[in-house]
Amino acid sequence: MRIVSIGDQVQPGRYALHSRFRRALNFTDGRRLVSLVSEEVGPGPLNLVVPGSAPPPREQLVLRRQDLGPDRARVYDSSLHLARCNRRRFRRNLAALEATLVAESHPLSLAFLLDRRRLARFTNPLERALAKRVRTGVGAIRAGLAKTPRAARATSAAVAHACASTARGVRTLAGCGFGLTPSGDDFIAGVLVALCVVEQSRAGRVGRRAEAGPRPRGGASGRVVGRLKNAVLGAGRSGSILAASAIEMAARGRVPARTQRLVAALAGGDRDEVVSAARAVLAMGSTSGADFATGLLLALRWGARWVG
Amino acid sequence: MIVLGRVRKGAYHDSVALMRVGRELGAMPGVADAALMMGTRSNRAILESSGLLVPEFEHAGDADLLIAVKAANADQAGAALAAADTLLRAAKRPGASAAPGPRDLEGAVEALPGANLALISLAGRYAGPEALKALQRGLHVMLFSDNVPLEVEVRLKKLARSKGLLVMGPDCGTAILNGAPLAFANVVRRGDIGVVAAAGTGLQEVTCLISNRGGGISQAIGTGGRDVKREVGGIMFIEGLRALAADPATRVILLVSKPPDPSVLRAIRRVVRGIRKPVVSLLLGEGRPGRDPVTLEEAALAALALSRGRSVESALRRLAARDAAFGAMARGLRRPRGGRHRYLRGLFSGGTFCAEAQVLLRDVLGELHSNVPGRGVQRLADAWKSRGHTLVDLGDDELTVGRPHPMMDYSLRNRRILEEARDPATAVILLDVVLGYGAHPDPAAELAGPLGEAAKRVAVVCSVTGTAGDPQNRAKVAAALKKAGATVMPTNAAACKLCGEILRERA
Repeated sequence: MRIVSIGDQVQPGRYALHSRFRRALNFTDGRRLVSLVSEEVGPGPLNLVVPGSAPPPREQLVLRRQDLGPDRARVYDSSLHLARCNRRRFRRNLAALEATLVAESHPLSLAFLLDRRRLARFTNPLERALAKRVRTGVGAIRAGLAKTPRAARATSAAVAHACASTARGVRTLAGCGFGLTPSGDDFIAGVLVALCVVEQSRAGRVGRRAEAGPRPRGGASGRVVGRLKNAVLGAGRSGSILAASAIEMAARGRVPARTQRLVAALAGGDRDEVVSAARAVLAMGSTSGADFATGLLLALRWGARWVG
Repeated sequence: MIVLGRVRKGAYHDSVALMRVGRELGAMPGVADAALMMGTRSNRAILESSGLLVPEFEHAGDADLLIAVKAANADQAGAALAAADTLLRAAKRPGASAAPGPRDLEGAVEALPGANLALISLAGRYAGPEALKALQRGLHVMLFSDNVPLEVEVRLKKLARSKGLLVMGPDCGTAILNGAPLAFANVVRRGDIGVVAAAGTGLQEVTCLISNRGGGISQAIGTGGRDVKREVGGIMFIEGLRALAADPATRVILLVSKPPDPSVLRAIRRVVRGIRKPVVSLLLGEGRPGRDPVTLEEAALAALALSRGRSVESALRRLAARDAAFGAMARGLRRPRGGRHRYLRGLFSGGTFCAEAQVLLRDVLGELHSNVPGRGVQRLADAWKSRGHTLVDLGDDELTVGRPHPMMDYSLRNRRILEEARDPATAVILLDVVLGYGAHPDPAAELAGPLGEAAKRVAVVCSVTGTAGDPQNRAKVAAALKKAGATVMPTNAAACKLCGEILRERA
């Protein structure tokens, strides 16, 4: 099997088929996930990209260490790449992302959190109950993120209170949604990536590639953000291996190429670049891309005062 | 109500497929609500708050699919659960559209050399570039897509005009070219009447009326509603008109549109003056009663009379004689009810019908409300909630994002019919039923249950747009709706006038 790109988080092992979609086959060894995806889906931290429009059908995947080396295919570096960030431009770019999400995302995605008129598309009692639970969860996350004091003024109790509120919201949201990767989990992954962006920004690692690991970076502010991130990760762990992997990767700042592009565009691009990158993210899954991007946008906005 | 549930261990589907199947189950007879979700803790809490949690779900895991149905009785719930499996299998199966075929315009042109029209139905933001490619290859374009930016539409239409090509759309849902129905269209006779319309269901209504009365259609060209706005300048409306003027098979030209911008209207009139064929024009809301056609049926009958060399006036007089009988008919339909039952609730799937109803009823009933208000009509604050006399276009973009058009999917309208029937302020429910290609294959089966329920409480009046040649067969659908308790009228205009008579005394 020819492989075009290997995600840098793919581990050797013997994997069995977990789920099959048109453009992706997901395999698991019980703890970890590997996805065999088409070029249209593109590189990701756990993706093996194969040529063509659909991965070849198979039930098992055996990956040896030598199968994953750079001599086999290009190894995809999934860490976040932040360009120099201008606050004013960053805010403008967030507005461009919001406009794209409101105008173009799936009607039953979580983009209703950005524009209440979209709630009209949730017509039956079940959809309305889903929207209500999401709003409750997101409200608590907002209370946590937006009210977290800046580190200079932070008391341990205030940070703990913010973390508790955020975690409560994440627990309400985790697993909310119809499919195998529920909308709530995609949203949480977006929040985690936003926190990684903030953390890197505080760490002053602008312009360099950085490993945004679980260890907090960036001085006192970075430590506060790190605690928030751990609170989200702890509360957001999901029973589904697909969602759990996405959340774990997001917490480590490991993202698909489309997300890398969007984050880079938000930090240093112009409006057109943001819109184009946002559209690429929206094309991920049915609602997944929109749900993820909504989480990213809102968490960046609520934590914007840290960015720069 | 009874709730039944089933757990499918390890089953999974795309989230949109689950939502769609849930809505399809919700539209089945007797089913009040349905859900298909993965069995996460949060989803079980959501099911509980929606009254859809059953004991079987207690031990389900995150990777299990939960299917729940709330229905009037166990049989209906069981039938819906059984249908869920079938619908899910169909959702998982690679669709017919996934069969090997051209993947792009170039491939399609290679596969069908000699084709001279491209029908484009993509998300709006991708449709413009594809339409441009088609025009550059010398193809006419029917652009089914909506949400194409205005500046793109203008650019495409100017390019098409320079190349002598047509761009029908964006948001063009209906056309009949050389006898071939495209998108939402009906099986009509071929003949010598050519139609240009910036109103999709208006085009369907006039072509069906002409065909049902023995006339025929040479070409029916849709332009998309935005074509007659000032920004576009009616470019394709005028090009369509010129194409029909030059077409030897067309003897009479019929124009149908919602009111164009005055500058566009002047341009159209200039072109019409230079055409040596009879031209009938219906600009909804602009016609002068007694001189111009005011309704779709008047316009269709006028065109038909001209194609047969007969007097338009006598055709319209016959129509007026028919309308005179509506008063007596209405008296038979009025029910002895309390004073609170006094409002009309029009639930339309066709935007042109909603506009026509506003024109016909605003002077009869007084204050009207609509989500797409025309002149003299109040805008509804919330399209989901009626106020006074209300005429709702359920096919409006605001209500159709993410769901099929109400001509294809009756679930939304059925729910609304029942809501309106339960509202003590409702006296009459007015509906349109549109048949033909693209429309629901069996609308009578979809509507019969809710109509029957509604007809026990209020008067239900509807029109059926279609022909005997349509896959659904107009006569059969009309008979089934009548059996369900509705009063079936021959046209939307007739249905509106009857409603006006029923409510005249109550208004």
